[in-house]
Amino acid sequence: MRVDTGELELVAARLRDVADDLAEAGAGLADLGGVGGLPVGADAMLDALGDLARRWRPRTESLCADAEVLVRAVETARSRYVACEAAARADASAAGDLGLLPWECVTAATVPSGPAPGTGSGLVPGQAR
Amino acid sequence: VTTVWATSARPQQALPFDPCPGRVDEVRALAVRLREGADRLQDVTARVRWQPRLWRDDAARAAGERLAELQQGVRLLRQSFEDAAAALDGWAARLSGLQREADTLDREAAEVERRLADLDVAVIGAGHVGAGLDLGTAARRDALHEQLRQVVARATALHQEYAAASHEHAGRLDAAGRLAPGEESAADRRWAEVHDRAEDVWRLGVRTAAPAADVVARGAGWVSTAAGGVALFRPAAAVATPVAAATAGLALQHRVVLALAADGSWQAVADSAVGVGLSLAAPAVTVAAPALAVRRGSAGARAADGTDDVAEVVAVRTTTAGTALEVGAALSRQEPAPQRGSVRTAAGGSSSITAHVVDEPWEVGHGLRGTAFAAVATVPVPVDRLRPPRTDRSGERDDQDRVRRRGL
Repeated sequence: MRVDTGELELVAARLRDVADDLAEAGAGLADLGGVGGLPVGADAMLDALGDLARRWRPRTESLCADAEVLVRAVETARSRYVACEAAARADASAAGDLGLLPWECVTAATVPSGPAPGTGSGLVPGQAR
Repeated sequence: VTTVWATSARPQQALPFDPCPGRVDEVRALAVRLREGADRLQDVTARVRWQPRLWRDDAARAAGERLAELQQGVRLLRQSFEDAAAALDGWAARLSGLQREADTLDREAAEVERRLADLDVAVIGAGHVGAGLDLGTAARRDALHEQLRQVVARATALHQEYAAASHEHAGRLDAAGRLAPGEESAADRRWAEVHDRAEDVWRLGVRTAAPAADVVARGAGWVSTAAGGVALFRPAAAVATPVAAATAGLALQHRVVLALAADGSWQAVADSAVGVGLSLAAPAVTVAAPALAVRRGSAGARAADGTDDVAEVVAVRTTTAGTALEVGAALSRQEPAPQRGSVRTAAGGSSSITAHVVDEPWEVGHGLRGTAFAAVATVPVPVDRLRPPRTDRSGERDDQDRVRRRGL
């Protein structure tokens, strides 16, 4: 199986942009939540703005965290496949080992290592980065 | 009327307050910020360009699923920002129009005040100070004061219009915020607050009435018990039965109030309702049993086969059981006042099944036994199915019958 590691790198970069935008939106909502200084007029408007910020702020932080997990996952997968390609170039017999990569192995808590993904020898779930 | 938000009030020339506080430019700037935020949150699908050919394994599938969830969340957030920006733009436009009207009123008020000041200057110049005003000047002054009062009244009306408009646009903002998943709206929260407040008022009222209701329930229970005792005697049963039933019903009614005050001890109310039924059933059998016996045959026949005696035994046993139970319930009501909001015993004949289930399990068992006994004892037994007591005379009659049938 061929994996386009260059495209994965691009995807990771775009996901990072999304995460950054979400972080910025979260910060904006935090400002909005403290609308005591915003001269929007009536209390009803102030309350509604505060509610909007209160509702969306934790959700935005959660979305941002999800985006960061995806970034890490894509980056991890990419680096893993880059290592596999290098190993395949050095040893043609390893080229067929580009197998399955479990989700747990590309999230933040794991580090890919070893010559082949999905073979059980190189991936250590739960190992700290 | 919405409370004026002091920090956004604009200085007024003559009006004593700003009818339409708020800064239109700040509101518009806020809308722009929200719209810019929405623009940045472009569709993740378009930006990321996730393609299955990139990466195909378990992790890729899981990542694709999470990306889809992320896309949905970001799409909602973006929509919410856009809606909120539109709501703020609408508010800014409305606020601008209202503030123009407020400015007009302020200018009118300033003009009236200027004319009043001119009038005062004229009065001082004419040397009328301390000597009283002539009628014409006084009338002009009164007219100007009235004019100023009317301007202020219009400003107050304008502020009310402003308040209504702010609520309308706040509703749109609220709807925008409601796009957030799993969040209740401000309107929902306000309704919940109103509901909670009403419930507090209701509970306070009921709790205030609870001591009196307890006294009435106890008193009615005692009267019901006494009436049930009187109903043991057949001549008085016709009068005592309705008295027992009515007072038991009264006790039940007040037990309902107590249950409401005690966070819903509806089991106690049900228990009390059983008590009402028992208080009716026991004396009723006293009346019903002889009537059944009468229907079965002549007085002579009843006397001959002993049915009348059996009916009376059933009635007395039944009423005794019911009354004993009522006395037991009445006695148990003399125990300490209800704790933890639990309502003590039922009125008029049931028992304390529901009382302190946790604290006093023995009482529960006692009450269950008593209720079971009462239920069995007060079931109206068809008198005509009861076998009369066997006597020597009847045995002789049976022997004679057998001899007759055999033709001996």
